[in-house]
Amino acid sequence: MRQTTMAGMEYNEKEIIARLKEKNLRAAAFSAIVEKHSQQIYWHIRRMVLSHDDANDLVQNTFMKAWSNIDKFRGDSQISTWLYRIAVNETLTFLNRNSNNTVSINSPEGAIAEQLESDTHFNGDRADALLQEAIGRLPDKQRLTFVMKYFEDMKYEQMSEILDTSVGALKASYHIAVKKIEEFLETHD
Amino acid sequence: MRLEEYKNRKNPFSTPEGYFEELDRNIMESTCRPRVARRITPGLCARVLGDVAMLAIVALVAYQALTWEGAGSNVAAADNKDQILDNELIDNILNNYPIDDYTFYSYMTDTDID
Repeated sequence: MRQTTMAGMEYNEKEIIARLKEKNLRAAAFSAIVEKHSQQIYWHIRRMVLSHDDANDLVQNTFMKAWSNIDKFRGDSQISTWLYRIAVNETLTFLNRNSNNTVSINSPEGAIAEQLESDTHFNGDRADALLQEAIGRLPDKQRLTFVMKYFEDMKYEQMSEILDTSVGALKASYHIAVKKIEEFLETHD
Repeated sequence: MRLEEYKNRKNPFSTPEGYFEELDRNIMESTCRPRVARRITPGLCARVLGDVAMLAIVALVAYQALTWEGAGSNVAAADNKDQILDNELIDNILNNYPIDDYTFYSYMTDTDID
């Protein structure tokens, strides 16, 4: 797949991977990766942690880890898969570490909506807040599956590589998540 | 509202204006920013040369002191009445080596000449 980056370079995954292996071309190749994937990774993280500030920290940490481990990337998987894996690890670590401060399955009802209402970077209405509340009540891995499939329309095969879980298990997890969310929306409408 | 109806809604989350341009720049600055080599300025050059010169002088003085002490003990052995005084050693150094009195005394008294 070829796309032109803002710097005028054509984004070609194979070429980028080859450039990553050359020390003098590495920074330019990484810059193209950042330009291509930073928004996608940001939005994935943002949907998981909800707060812009937390998402900003986590997306930067994700790319810093990617850069510091760039020698270990052999090009066996897609660059986006590799970045997603790092982002997922960062996000899950963050959610576990801050389980007392972030809204989760154990938070009192309405906690997520309350958090979102006070967030200057949330422009949604009550229905949007309700959906976020329903998603936020899912266990972390089920929430990951739902976010990847519902919002990002990711293929189960790529999700399977990122989450190291079988396609069948992911499909089941997504359907359970959908059922739970629909039930929540019905009871809170 | 049913779940499938949300598909058509706008993303309720937003970011500060110009955030993504800044994000890419921040990421690049914190990852592959080239390390700046230390510039060789005239001041740095003079300081290094000064340090090297001082080291050479100290080594020379130490060497002279050792050899003079050796000569002094021979003289003392030949004539027990004469003793080598510290002042003679200092005079010898000042007369024979390219070091000014002030620098030498600063070194001997361990004071900073700067």
